[in-house]
Amino acid sequence: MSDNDVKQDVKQTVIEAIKAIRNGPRAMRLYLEICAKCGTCATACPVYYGRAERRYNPAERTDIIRRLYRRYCTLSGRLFGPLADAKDLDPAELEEWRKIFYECTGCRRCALFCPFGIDHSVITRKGRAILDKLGLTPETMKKVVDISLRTGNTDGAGEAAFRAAIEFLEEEMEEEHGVPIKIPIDRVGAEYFYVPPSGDMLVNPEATMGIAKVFHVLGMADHWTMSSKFFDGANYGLFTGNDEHMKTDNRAYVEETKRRKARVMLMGECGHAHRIMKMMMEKSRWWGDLPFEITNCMQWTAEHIQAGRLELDKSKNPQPVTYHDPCNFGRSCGITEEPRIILQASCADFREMYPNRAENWCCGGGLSAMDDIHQFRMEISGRKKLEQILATGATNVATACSNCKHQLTQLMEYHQQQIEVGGVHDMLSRAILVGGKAAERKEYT
Amino acid sequence: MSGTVGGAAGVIILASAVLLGVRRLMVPRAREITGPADYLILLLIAAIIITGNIMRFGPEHFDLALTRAYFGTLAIFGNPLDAPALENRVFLVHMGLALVLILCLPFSKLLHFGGILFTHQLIRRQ
Repeated sequence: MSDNDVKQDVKQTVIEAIKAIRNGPRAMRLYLEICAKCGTCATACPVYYGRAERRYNPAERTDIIRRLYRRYCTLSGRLFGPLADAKDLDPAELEEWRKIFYECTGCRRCALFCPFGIDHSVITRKGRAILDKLGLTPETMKKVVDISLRTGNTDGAGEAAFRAAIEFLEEEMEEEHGVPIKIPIDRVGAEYFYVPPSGDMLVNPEATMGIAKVFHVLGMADHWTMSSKFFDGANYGLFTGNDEHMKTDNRAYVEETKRRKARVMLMGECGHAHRIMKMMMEKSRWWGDLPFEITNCMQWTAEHIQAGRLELDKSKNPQPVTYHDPCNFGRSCGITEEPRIILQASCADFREMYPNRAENWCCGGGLSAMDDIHQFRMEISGRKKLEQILATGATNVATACSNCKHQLTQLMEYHQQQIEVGGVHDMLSRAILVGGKAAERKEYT
Repeated sequence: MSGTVGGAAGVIILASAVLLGVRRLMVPRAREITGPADYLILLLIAAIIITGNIMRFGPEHFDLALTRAYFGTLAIFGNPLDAPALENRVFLVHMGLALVLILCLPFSKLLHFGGILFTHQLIRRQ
């Protein structure tokens, strides 16, 4: 095939995908038809706040798809072309697409403030889906998806590594409390099947320790289990826009929950994973009726705190602590009070950052969490978050999402701030009383 | 009474159109996403408002009763061609542009004035 043929082929693929929008969800067509170009989204966008340039304007990013949609799917676009804001595709632009569509963190803050509720993250994902179809997904993303589909987790960790990590955590907990606290593995018939992000096993394992302690204190140590093969809820099919990958990855976890005969799928501190399970898989009934329910570990723990079943010693966390609402929990799933209940019970000096809850600013990672664009995340998309955290005066940021933790840790390092980043259950793990005694804690930082 | 209210509305709506235009030109986050269609539709609306105001405030005062007669003829499928209203050129321009605007409605972003009533419901449902 000549160079020109390849170009034509590529163009054809893109146009097919654009035309398919007509048969897709009505909400997406609406997003493409109805924008009045008022610029409100730009005031809500963490990326545009970080640098007010045209390429970072959410409406402009969406316009890349919208111009093609108008050209191929609307009468006025076909008749009047540029006068009706329609434009044909120049395949040379695709190289630029690869950057632009990965410069949106998919936080959906624009959708909250747009008078029409236009969710630009949906269009961003469409752009990424087209790139993925062309094999143009950035290499680092591609690799994570490959690893995840092959091994069941995004770190590519095998069963041996997982068991070693669990063993280490059990030793830690025994050292802290002087009593053995178990983390059951591969049990069948346990009530709860815990699905954390693999980051909470291998990078910030304190959250998993917190969960184990809660089960132990409640006398439910035999009622839960983890899986030695499926211990990472993270799903990068959401990131690359590839629905098939997203569903394949998701299905493995649903099947494992069934194999474990669990009554509850207990999602860990992982925003994207929880949102896919709860708001996409369950809501749209990807796999029909489920023999289990889906709950987040924060909802579960908060319930037990409110019922007075857990005792916590706040003085173990005397430092000022603030909470960063992960976009997927706060804005997309409405889980805002539960983490605060846990943190207020575990910390002596809990501080809010403003704005918060559904209006919270994105950490700047999200769907852009790639090492390739480290500088972009540190200097542009994460700028607002840094200012927000510094304004609280907190020395410890708790958050409930592996992506946020990763991004915020890097952000603090990059800007040389002595601020510790951790999970919600991390703080609980340090304060919870096991047998009337809080953890004898070594310095982890 | 209707003359005063109509006149005030004409002035206010012109000011609004000018402000929208100024905002689009002056606020970077709006200017950088503005395309020809956005300017054209604003110009069209401004032209309709201006011709309307000329009829009302211009030297050649235009009697509203004439338009009533004209539209009355249209409503009963009569012959409107020798309606006296059509002798006024400004009215012809005003009327013509308004027709263009109505033609544009279903094809342009102006549909948002209707869509805003539905988007949130539609998005929540999906």
